[in-house]
This record gives sequence, structure tokens and C-alpha cells, in this order.
Amino acid sequence: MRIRIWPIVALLGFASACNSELEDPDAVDSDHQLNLSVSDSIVSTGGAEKIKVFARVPEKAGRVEIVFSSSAGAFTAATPNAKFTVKQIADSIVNNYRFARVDFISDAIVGDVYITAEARGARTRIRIQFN
Amino acid sequence: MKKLLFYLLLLCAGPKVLSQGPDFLAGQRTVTLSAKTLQQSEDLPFDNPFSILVNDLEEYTDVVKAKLSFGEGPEENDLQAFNQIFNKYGKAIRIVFPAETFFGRKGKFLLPNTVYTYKIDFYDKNDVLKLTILRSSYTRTKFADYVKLDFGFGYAPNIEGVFGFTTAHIYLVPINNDADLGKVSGFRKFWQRSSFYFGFSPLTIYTDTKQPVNKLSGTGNFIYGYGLRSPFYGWKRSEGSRARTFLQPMRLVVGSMVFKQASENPLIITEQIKQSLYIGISYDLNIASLFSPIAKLYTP
Repeated sequence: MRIRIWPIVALLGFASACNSELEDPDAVDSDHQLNLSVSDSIVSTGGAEKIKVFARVPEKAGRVEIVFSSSAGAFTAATPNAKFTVKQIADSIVNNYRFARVDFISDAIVGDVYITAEARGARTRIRIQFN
Repeated sequence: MKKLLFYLLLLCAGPKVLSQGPDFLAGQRTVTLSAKTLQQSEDLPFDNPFSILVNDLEEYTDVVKAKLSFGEGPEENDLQAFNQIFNKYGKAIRIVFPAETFFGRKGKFLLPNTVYTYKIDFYDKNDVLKLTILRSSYTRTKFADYVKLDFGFGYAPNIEGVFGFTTAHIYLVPINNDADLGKVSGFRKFWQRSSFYFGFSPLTIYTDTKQPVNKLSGTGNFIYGYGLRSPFYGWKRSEGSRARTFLQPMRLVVGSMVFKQASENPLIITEQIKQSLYIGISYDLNIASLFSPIAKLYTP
């Protein structure tokens, strides 16, 4: 039987184009995970200043709900009595990212306050130093 | 006991075999021709040995034998005469088409979508010509000759997945299901084995990936690719092989399965569409009756 080369070449080309790269949670870029940032990470107490807290998610995540919580202090938000926990929707789009923002008010303490953001199984934390 | 079984089998099979006449060969397609109305029961088959069983010879009581002339094309001038004598058996004469003599080599049969003309001369015992039948016939094909359905198992190494599937194979040449690939020769043999297919995989038996693999739709995952029929049978002519029943309908397939996979980023809920190369074995659905318990699993 004669061996014809062109079907083999065509099949090899087909095979090389066939396999997609599979989803690997370990390979997610930190830039595309839930990120938390604050306007001031070191704060002098006694000023009762507001600290802006930003949670950032990739734009593809859509209007995801972010739950902010703090170990001390308080968040200002539309929800009454929301002190240690507040929810916000990430609906502000800037440069392929979505942002949710809350304002955090210190209550004049010395030490570290941890602010945590959670969304769809992702969780991150940031520290604010009061001195 | 064995003798009893033998005679029982003979009782069931014997009359059918004997009524075919001594010229009948297994695997041969029989086309019936009426000497009275000149009606053929069906078109001449392509890619398969055949014989023409001429009946309704009651008014020609002195006819005892016949000779055949055969040609490609609609013209009587192109007929090639054969010396072989076909004797009357019972009330009919069976004319076996001498493919090897007509084509000059083994492994060649009538082509699809081609007009052939044949002439049968009937003689009495003194070789006096009593009747001549001249007829043309077209080896007609239909859409179903180009499309075959099958079912099978596949393995995708990229996702370490095992799954079942049902597909429709599209051939570039018409396929005669009765043809024995062990008897056919020539370039057309490659195209009789090669097909391109598409279908669905409704049954995923196992996968091993970091993120779950999900069905593309309610019917299953979409698959497509290339199929090679009878990879283990019929490359060398092997007449009368018992392996034909199970190896000829078998197909080696290679293709791609399209599926959905949950995003690696938990923040993103939309599933990603992926595809993975796979290789598999399938069987034509006309053999499903032999594997009916497994075939029932694949009903979408």
C-alpha cells in the first residue's frame, strides 16, 4: 500500500491546532484576582479621617458583589447600621477592571486594623496601621 | 444429538440455499429480472458482486441455457460477449456477472452512478436462440449512500477523558454496505474508507482536570474529525474472511471534542469553550443490534 504524505501532514496540522489550553487555577495572574487597596495604609489616629478602600476585580467578573469587613473601625455606607460589614457591587469600570469602593473611618485606635474583601470564593485582606 | 441439530439447521437453511441454485455465491447481490415485463427488482449494485436472476420463463419452456453480453454505457455496440453458459435451474436462470473477466483483473466492480447495458441470449438444448433481452441499468446512488451513522468510545489525552459518542460520517464516494473491502482494489478503496464526521458525545465517563469539564449543550459535547473505516481489515484481498462481520464496520476516528470548562478564576462565572484532540473506535449503527445493550446508553 502506498503511503500518502498529505493526509498525515494534514492530520498533524489538525492535531496541533486541536488542543486548547485548559483552565488552571494555579496559573491565575495575581492581577486578575480580587485585589484590595486603601488610600492610606498608615494613619495617624485622632483625625477621624476617612480612608478610601477599593476592591478591584477583572471586568469579565461582571457586577460581582463584594463584602467588606473590618476588625475594628466602621464603614460608611448607604445601609444603616452597617459597621463592620458592608456590601458593594463592583460596577465602576476603569481600564478593564471593575471597582467597588467604601469609606472606612478609624475610631482613634493605635494598632493594626485588617480590612477583608470577599467575592465568589475569592478573599483578600489588607492592613492599616494606626499610630 | 449433534446429528439432530445438524438436520434441524439443514431443514432451516437448506431450502433457502438450494433454491438459490448451484451458481449462487455467498455475498453476491441478486437482481431479479422478469423475462415477461423486463422489470428489474432494483438497480445493479456498485462495488459488489451480483447476479441477475431471470424468472417468468414459463412461456419459453424450451429455454435451457443463456449467455451474457455486458458493457459500460448506453450503447449496444459496446457490449462484450462472454462464453460462459448459465443453465436453467428450476424455473429461473441465474446469470452471474463475471467481474474478473469483464475488468480483466480481480477487485474491480461496477462503478456508482454509471449506465451499463447488458444482453442475455436464451437458447434451447440444440443451441437455437429463442429469446434475447437487451436492457440498460443505472447504478443509482442516493444520499443515504454518502452518510453513515455510528457510535463508539473515545479518549482525549489532554483532559484524560473517556466518553461515548454518536456521529454522522460523510463520505466523498457512495458506500455500498454489502461491499466487501477485502475484494475491492484500486484508489477508490481509500475513499471508501475515509470519511469526515460530526456528532455529539452525550456520555462522559471520566475526566481528570483541575477545573470541571461540562457539557457544551443539553445534548452533549460537539465532536468532529476524520474517520478511517476498517483499519484492520481488507487492505489485502481476503475473500471469505470471517473477520469481516466485526472488523469491516469498525472505524478508527481522530478528531476534536468541543466542551465547556469552568473558568480558572473563581470571580468569572462564564464557562470557557475549549476543545481537545481525541482518538477513538466506533462501529456502524447497522451493527448496533449486536451491541444493543451498549448502544442504548448513547440515545441522546
